Amino acid sequence: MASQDSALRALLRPTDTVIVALEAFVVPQPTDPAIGTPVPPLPADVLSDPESVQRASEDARNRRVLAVVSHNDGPNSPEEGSVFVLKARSPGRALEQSDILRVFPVFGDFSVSMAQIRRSTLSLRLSQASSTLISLTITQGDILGRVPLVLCTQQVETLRTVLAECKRLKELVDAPPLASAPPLTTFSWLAPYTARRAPLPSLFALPEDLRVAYTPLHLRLSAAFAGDPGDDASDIVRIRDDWIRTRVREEGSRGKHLLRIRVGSFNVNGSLPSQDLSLWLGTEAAPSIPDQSLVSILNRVEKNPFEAASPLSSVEKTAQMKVVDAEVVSSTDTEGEDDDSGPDLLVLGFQELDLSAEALIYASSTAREDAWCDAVFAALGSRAGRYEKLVSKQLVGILVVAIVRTTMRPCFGEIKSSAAGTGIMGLMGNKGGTALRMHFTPPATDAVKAPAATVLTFVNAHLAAFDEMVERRHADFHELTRRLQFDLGAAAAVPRDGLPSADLNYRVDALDEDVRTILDSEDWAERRFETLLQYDQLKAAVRDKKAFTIFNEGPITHFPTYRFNPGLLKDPLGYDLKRRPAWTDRVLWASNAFARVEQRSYTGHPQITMSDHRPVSAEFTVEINIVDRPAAEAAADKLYRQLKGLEDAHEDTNARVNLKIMNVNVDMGKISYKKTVTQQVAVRNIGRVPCAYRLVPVDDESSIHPDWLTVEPMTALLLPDELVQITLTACIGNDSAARLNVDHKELNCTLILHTVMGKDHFIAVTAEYVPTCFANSLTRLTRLPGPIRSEGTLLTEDRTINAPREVMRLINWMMASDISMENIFVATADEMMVDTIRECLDTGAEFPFKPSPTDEKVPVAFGETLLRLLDSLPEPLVPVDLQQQCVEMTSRDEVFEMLDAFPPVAVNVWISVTAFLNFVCQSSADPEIKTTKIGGEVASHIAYL
Amino acid sequence: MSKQYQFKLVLLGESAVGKSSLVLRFVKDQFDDYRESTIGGAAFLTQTVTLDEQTTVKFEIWDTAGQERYKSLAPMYYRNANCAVVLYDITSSATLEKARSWIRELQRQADPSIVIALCGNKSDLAARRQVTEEEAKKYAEEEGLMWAETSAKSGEGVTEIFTAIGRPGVDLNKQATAQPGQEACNC
Repeated sequence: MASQDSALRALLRPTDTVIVALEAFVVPQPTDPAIGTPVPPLPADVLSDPESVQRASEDARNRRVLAVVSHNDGPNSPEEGSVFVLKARSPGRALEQSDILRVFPVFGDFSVSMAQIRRSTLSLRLSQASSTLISLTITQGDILGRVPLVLCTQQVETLRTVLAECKRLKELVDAPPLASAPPLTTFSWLAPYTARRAPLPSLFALPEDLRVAYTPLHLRLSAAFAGDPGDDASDIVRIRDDWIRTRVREEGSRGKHLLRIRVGSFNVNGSLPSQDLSLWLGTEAAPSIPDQSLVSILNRVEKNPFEAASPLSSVEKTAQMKVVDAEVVSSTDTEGEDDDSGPDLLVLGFQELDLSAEALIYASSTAREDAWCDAVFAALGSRAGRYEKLVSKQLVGILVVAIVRTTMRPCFGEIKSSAAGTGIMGLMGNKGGTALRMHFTPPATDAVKAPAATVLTFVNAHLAAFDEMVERRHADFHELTRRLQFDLGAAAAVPRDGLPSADLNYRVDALDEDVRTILDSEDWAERRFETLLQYDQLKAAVRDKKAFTIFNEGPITHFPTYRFNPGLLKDPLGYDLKRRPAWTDRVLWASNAFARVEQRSYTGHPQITMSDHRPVSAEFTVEINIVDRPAAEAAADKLYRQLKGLEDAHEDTNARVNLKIMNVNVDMGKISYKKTVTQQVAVRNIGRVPCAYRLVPVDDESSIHPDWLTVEPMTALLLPDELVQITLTACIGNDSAARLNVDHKELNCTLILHTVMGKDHFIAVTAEYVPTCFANSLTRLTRLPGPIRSEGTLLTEDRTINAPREVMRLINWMMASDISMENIFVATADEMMVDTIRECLDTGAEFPFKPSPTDEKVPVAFGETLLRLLDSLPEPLVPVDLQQQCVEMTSRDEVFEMLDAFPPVAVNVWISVTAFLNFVCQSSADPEIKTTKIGGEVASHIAYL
Repeated sequence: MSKQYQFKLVLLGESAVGKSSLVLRFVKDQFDDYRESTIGGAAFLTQTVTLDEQTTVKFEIWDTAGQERYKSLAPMYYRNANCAVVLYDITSSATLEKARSWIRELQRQADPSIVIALCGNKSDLAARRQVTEEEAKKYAEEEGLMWAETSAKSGEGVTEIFTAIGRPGVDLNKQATAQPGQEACNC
């Protein structure tokens, strides 16, 4: 037994251990003489024939070893298990010479069952007194194309251990992991074992986790450095699978199917439907229900100009028209009786469906759900008969309902739902999410008889409330992505195509008064939403990669949806005075390359006033690749054959994989601030087998390339003779420039291109930095003896100039010339002009522009250059530690006092800039409006806000 | 039961002393008179030698480029190395100087348990010899290094040096049986 264990260990990689091994045998399928191939597995029949069991047990070729193998990467990663089935290469050979025949990862639909084999007719030879014969059946339903395996064994005790271990490992996988972020890849450790055996690994079986799909391939590979190649054997499998996945998609693709989905989110604040919902659903208003909301909103039309928001889509236009003139709507309503306009799938997320205290405790009745569904169908009007409810899932007040066009119903299958509470004690359902997952299979056609399914997932979430709970909302998001699991198993919760609709409760981080002013004021009409959304907590979370990182959101052109107050404590727009208006209700989406999601509209529905939130809706078209399954599988098969030898290479490393770098020395030439320079490096596979490369850093403290350089592709697979062009792109942004301005001008680096299972190639990159006045500290600018490109050493500290000449040149030109100030800081600048102006500042050359009172573009470019120069300062003009105090200043005198705390050079720049701003505002026709308009714009450039 | 050890070995030395040729001879028993120089890179090869009936050593060999341009990357290749073969060309005294500087660097910066062998290559060109056996041997003894002369062209001394350099590592591991060696695996 001990020798068997050590023999097995020899077959495994160091991270994997054998927990228990069982000796067993298979009973071969009888061969159907007519066809000559084994008949489909009918294990029960085979096993019921004692003679064939008897014969099988005596034939050494049928012997198998079943091993439960555990994988552990370290204390922080979860243990994962798998059942291996091994067979000696030839009968009687040592176990070291075994082949791994089958691998069953223990997760999801994995199961082992056992049964005693009927003994009544067994011959005496087999039933040696006490021996009992047990059959066990192993299935792994998650991996398609894999039939259950049936084995027989006499080792009853060992079998018990096997079953116990499988149970334990299964529970480990099913239980939520301890760490907040689940590992990106699960069971990837099995890849080296299955690489050669499985003709078609689980490429189609499990939807690829979107978080994995969104992570560039090179970041999914093992940690590797110069001289330390990492886990080449696993990496090659990941690179290969990615390569095959991409190509199978191309080769199996047979056109597109457009799926129209409308998603709505509505926090109903415990109310029951009392208004028509047709606007929210995008259908014509049902004429029988008098719509009171139309009256109330009409009163607001002059003060709440919807025209101000740029119309996003025809649907939104229709909605506007309804508000203004119901007649227009009816005249455009020319739809026939059996039209198929409107969405194929409607997914509606409700929050706060039930606010009663008992709802938290008992699973409440479906009365409220029914009431809302009735209202939805009523609002579908004449179309109601063409839709049916597909599925719904409720958790306390969080309800998600999917409604499908009846004719499309057969396309949806494998419908699953899930719910997770994150509310009180982190578990209760007052906050949390409900989710639906379904397979959509495009209708079969003559050309594509067996189309592959696409997985769609919809999440309806209600996250923690209140302005200051932003961190809690991030945590809720991560909690939900972890806990919203479907029966599917290890495929993580973030779906292949996720469309969460939700009251995400993210708020706007700006002063209450400002928010209301910006929303209400005419002057803000053009940039109202753009300005406020800069301070939106959700946008910030995505930007800072705190939550919802992989999600997209269409442009918001509707008013905040929260919080409205029907009573007296409201501002002119109807927003509650005690809550800052915010876009709490959002629709986000993510997709992969198999199904391209396009957002067609994103609309708030202020006409529906029954809650303190307003509902939002979003229309999507999902362009689904119609993949012909047989064609895709054939393509995968062919691609695997093309890659023959790829994984074998590691068994004979020596010089079989062979890449040639055509140019190992790359000169990028001179690189100026924000000017992109590209060069190419050609790599050819001159070996006889396919081979892959990846770029690796020098060591674990370095990055693969410096921040001013990007390299694409970072990893690739090359067939023999194939040539890949690697593109090196150099671009110096503010951060690199700030460092390079002070430091060396030579930009040299060495890229290390590691051939997987082979040589490390070095690519020497050289470049020369051309300095710029941008991204220098103000102090350094005042110590320059002349323009930054001129020769000379820095002035000593006692001889510095008063203010940077670059800032002064810009302001002087604008103030001294007879030019139009009207569009400065407002209109969009011409990039070429900004470049020219910056170049003149760097070299000291005269500006090649003649001031003219009729020219709008040049002054705008000067204004923009000034803002960008201020923006590029490594330390903002207003010192960080003084910014909070500055915001609280209320009088001119206080401001002057404050300036004493500024560094002297910043004071001078501050005075020049504010004097100039004052000049710009005063020269405007309406100074007050101008001040409001440009104030916010400029402020963000002189301080970090 | 036989034991297999796995050792990382790095080859260092001036450009054109024959590092890649030595590895080619060791790994494939081949020689190429007009081998291109290893431009900008570090080749990775493996070869297994049998020390005795119970012991085999699998060498993971990093054959580094000799060019000065990439000297700063060399530490990445000798870190964690169990063995280093520092090569000079017996027909060029300058290459021995370079070898000395590599050895000083290894003694200063590599893992203290690293086994270093100094190798005088191109012993088939003894007629043009600039470095005497005595001189190199004396230096090696002073520094406690293994020393041998090799010829990648004729194959003389090649297997011997690789077999010898694996031995101390194996012995070290055997002594430390109380704590199973990280390089050793029960095979």
